[in-house]
Parts: sequence; C-alpha cells; structure tokens
Amino acid sequence: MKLKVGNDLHEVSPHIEINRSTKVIMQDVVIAMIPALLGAIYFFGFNSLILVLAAVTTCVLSEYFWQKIRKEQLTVSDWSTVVTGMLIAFNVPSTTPIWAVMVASIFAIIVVKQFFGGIGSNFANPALMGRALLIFLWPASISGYVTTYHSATDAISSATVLGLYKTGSDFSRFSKWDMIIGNIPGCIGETSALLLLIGFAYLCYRRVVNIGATSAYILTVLLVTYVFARDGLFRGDILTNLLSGGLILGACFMMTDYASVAPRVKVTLAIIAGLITAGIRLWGMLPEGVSYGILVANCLSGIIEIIIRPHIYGVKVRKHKG
Amino acid sequence: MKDSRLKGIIALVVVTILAFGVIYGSKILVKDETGNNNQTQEDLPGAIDVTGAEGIVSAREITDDSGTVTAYSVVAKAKGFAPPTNPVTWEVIFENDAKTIKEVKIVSHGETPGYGAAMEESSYLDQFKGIPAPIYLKGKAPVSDAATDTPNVSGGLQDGIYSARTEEADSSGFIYLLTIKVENGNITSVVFDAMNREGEYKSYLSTVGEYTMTEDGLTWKEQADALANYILENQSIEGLTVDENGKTDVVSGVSISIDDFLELTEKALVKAASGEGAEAIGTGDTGVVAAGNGEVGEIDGVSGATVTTDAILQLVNNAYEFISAYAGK
Repeated sequence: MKLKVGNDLHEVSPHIEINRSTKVIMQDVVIAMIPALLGAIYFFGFNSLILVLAAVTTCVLSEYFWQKIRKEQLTVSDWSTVVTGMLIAFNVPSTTPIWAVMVASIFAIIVVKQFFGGIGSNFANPALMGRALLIFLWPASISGYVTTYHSATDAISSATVLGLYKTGSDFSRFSKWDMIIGNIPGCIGETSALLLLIGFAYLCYRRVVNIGATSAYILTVLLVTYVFARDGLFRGDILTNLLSGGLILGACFMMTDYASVAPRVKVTLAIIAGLITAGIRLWGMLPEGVSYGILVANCLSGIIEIIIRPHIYGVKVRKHKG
Repeated sequence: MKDSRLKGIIALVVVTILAFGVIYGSKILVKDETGNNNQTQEDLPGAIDVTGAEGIVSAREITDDSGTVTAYSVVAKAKGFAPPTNPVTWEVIFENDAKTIKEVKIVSHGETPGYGAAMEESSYLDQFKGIPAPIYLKGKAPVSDAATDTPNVSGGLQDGIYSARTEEADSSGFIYLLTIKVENGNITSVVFDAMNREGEYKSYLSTVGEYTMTEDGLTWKEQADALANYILENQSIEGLTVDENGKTDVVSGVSISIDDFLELTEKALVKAASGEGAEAIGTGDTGVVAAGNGEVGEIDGVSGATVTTDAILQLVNNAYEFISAYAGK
C-alpha cells in the first residue's frame, strides 16, 4: 500500500498488490448508476440529464479550481467528483432549478470534501450534505415532485408516494409495479428500484460494495417501519417503504461510502442509519429520512470505530478478567 | 481485471436493455387499460372557456344522463411556497348552485413536505365538503354588526340569497361583492365586501389595519356595515342619495364612495324581486358561518404554512368567483 506523506510516496504495510485504484472503483460506480440515469431520462425527461450534467460539471470544476488555487495535487481524474455530482442530481426532483444543484455541488465539493482534506477524509457523504443544504436553505427548490411522463394520471406535479403514505392519503393510483419500475413521482435517481438494483448487482459483481451494510440498512428500515406502523403494531407497508422513496438509492450507492473500512463498523453504522431513517419516517415531520439517516451515521463513524475496534493484524485480543 | 470489467459491463448493458423492454412493455399495457384516462378537462364534455380568467386552469359542467348540470368543476391555481413553476393547483367541485363546495382534490403542488404538503391530509381536505364559498380562515370571516333584528316590512321580495358583483376590478384591484338574504319577504342580512387578486377581503384587511383610510374615522368594514344597516332599516336604497363623487351624507360616518354598493344592491334587489338566481338559505352546517349578513365557509389553515394557506384561500375563492359569474349567480 502506498501512503503519501508530504510530497513523498511511502510503501507501508500491508504489502498486498491489488490492481484496484480509486479511479477504477469510482468509474465502476458511475457505470452502475447509468441504468438509473437512463431511467430518469425516460421517466422525467431530458431535464434530468441536464441536472446531472450541471451537477457533475460543477463538482469537477469546483475541485479543479480549488486544488489549483491551493496548489494541491489534482485529483479530479479519480472520478470521485463525477460520482458526487451524479448523486447530487439523483437526489433532487427533475423540476429543481439548475442553480440549486450547482450551489449544492459547490458546497459538497468545497466545504464538505476539500475543507476536510479531500477524498476519504470528508466527515459525511458530500452529495447528501449538498441535498441537506438545499433542504435547509431553499426547501421549495427541491420540493417540486412531478409524476412521470408515463403516468396514467393527468396531474403534472404530485406528492411522492411516501408523502401520501405518511399522511394517510390515497396513493392507490400508483401500483407496486409502478414503484418497481420507477413510474412514480420522486427524485430523478431514486424512483426505479429495478434499474438501481441492476446497477447494484454490477457493483456486487465487481466487489466494490459492502453488501452487508446495504442489507443491514434496508432490513433495519423495513423491520422498524413494519413493526411500529402508523396504523398499529406489525401493520407497516413493507413494499411501499422499500420501493417508494430513496431507500434503495441510499442503501446501494450512499450507505456504501468509503469513510469507514472495517465491515463490522459499516454494518453497525448501517443499522444506526436505518433506525434514524425509520424513526423519521414514522415519527418525524418529513416522509423520507434516508438523507439524514445516512448523514447522522456518517457523523457517528468516528465514535463507532472507537467503540468497535477493528482487529489489528498480528495482535491477540486480551481477555479481561474479573 | 479488465476482462472482469468488460464482462460486467456487457452483462449490465444486456440486463438494462431487458429491463427497459419490460418497462416499455408495461407502459403499453397500462395505456391499454387506462384508455382515455389521459383526457384533460378541456377534452371532457361540458368544458367552459376560461380564457382570460386569472388563476383558472380549466372548468367544466358536470351533467347527468339527461344533460342537467349537477355540479361544476373548476381547476384553479395560486402561487404557494414553491416557485411559480409549481403552483398549488386544486380541482374545486361546486354543487349546481355554483356556491356550495362539494369536494376539493389536489391536482398538483410543490409545497414543502411536512409543512405546506400537509394539505394532502384527508382530514384537511374533508373540511371543505359542504361549505359555501367564499371561504375564510376560522375567525376571520367578516362578521357584520348589521346582522340583527330587522323591521318586519313586506317588500314583495322572494326568499333566498342573492349575490351580485362588479365585473371589473377598481383601480386598486378590488372586485366588489354584495349578498342579500331575504326571509319572509324581508331583507334580513346584507354583506358588502371587496376582494383583491390575492383573494384578500377588504373587510378583513381594514379590521387588521392593513387597509386604512383615516386615523380616527370608521374603518372600511364599519362603513360597509353601516351601509348594510341602512338597507336593513329601510328595506331599500331609496333615500340613499349621493353627490357627484359618489359619496353620501345620509349614513353617518360613511365617507367611502358608494356607487358600487348602490349598483350591486340594485342588482341583487332586482334578482330578489323576480326570484332569479335565488340560492336556498343554508342550514348552517359545520364550517358555515353567518359572515356579516350572509353565509360563508370557514376552514382551518395548513398548520405552519401561512403562504400555502393563503394560496388555498385564493384559488378556492377565485374558482368560486369564476363559476358564480359563469353560472350567473
């Protein structure tokens, strides 16, 4: 493993040769998101593509100019900014103004990523922090959910299925099949469970993601929302909770961040994120909760790593007596 | 490594193409099942021309098999908290009296989840059922002191509620509205008010100090009530003389121009004399209040969402104004 200290590269243990750089991993993530991007264009129109391009371009340029100004090593070529940009756009509805995704992108890259030391050092998922900024400062800018071009209803904009479910409103016009394929209102990259899972399958094939963390997150959300349902104990709508919001996007592409390495820590954080997400969905003001669930888990990663110390190679665990 | 990625990409492409085949196939099936569900209001029978009607998206008459109008549907919009590209848009269905709200449905909105989006709650929407328009927030309906006992003078008028309104807004953007109630041939209540493009009533604005004329004189609402009292006491507008500026010295404390008041009262009395356009006198259901000298609906606002609430008031009242004018009531 190579460790950069100052301007020097040092070989440090473990000396295992792997041919998988950050660039390759990030390229794989981008490839995995392309089916969902095509779905977004199909369901919400070319404005989805424009938002993605705007976010990606802004992220790349932000990082480039920041590192140029700071005279730091350029890392734009590692593709991580492309992933961040795509995720920012995936987390907003297609009616979002372009300026909003650009502001979110600049904030994500400069403040969340570069202020804290760049890739791997950011304290939270930059894309979700960008979304959180928009929710905090301009909530109306990312609240314009619309029905898809292929909806059977004649409505132009609509509440999300999860929003209707939370308020006890009728959402029967959206079938479970609609939720699976993505023919429902929502953020552009979150609606199609089918296309997201195809991308996730690719990541699993490429061994890029921790399937344990993804599974733990989804199962925790579904279990808690099923047990403590609005209509009474053990009466939650599992499929609606799974398919109608950003749960799959969050679990497959954002819960699997590289902020923490130890699998046990990742799974623990996923469970924490799941509990918070479910709590927000059940008792919070907002119908969703994925963003805040993952962000809180991100912020807790430091303390969780201290509590759940990873096994150190070559050191025996000492059993405490008495 | 590269082989592994290439294989993965090929598999990804193949599966994605298959997935889109499934998605597209299901779209065709849904299209077949839904048939004409994509019809817009304009395409449906009984469509009403809404050209030039501000805030009105579409409207139509709902008829039964015999062609009798049983209700009116008006789709109206108003800017809420979301950007203008995502206005609050509702379908307001009125009974065939073009006043009583039968039902409201949300067509679209871009309000913030947890705040303005709380309008989607069925308990909120249900409060509109059966109340008469115009609507006000609870406790903010114009309550007139003029709704009092009246002399039992026979006026030859037919019982019912009669409304009249000015066709065009004045220089300040207000449209004037007048409603009289006739019981046992007597005028028992008179409501005189004005509404601006934002759906705000002059009576309310003057009461809360947002529409002032003089520091020490009567407010606009108090003057409107005084004029209404004059009608109740005299059962006519005879004797209510005006000068060249449309002002009167007959009613103490009234300094506003009363041309509109006189014109609308005359229109309403003509209707009352013939019984034309009479609305049945309501029974006072939940949410219905005697507002001043007539009946209006009262609703709760969307909790924590003032701007959204204002948009709802505006669009429902705009819908009412439009359809009542169309129906000639």
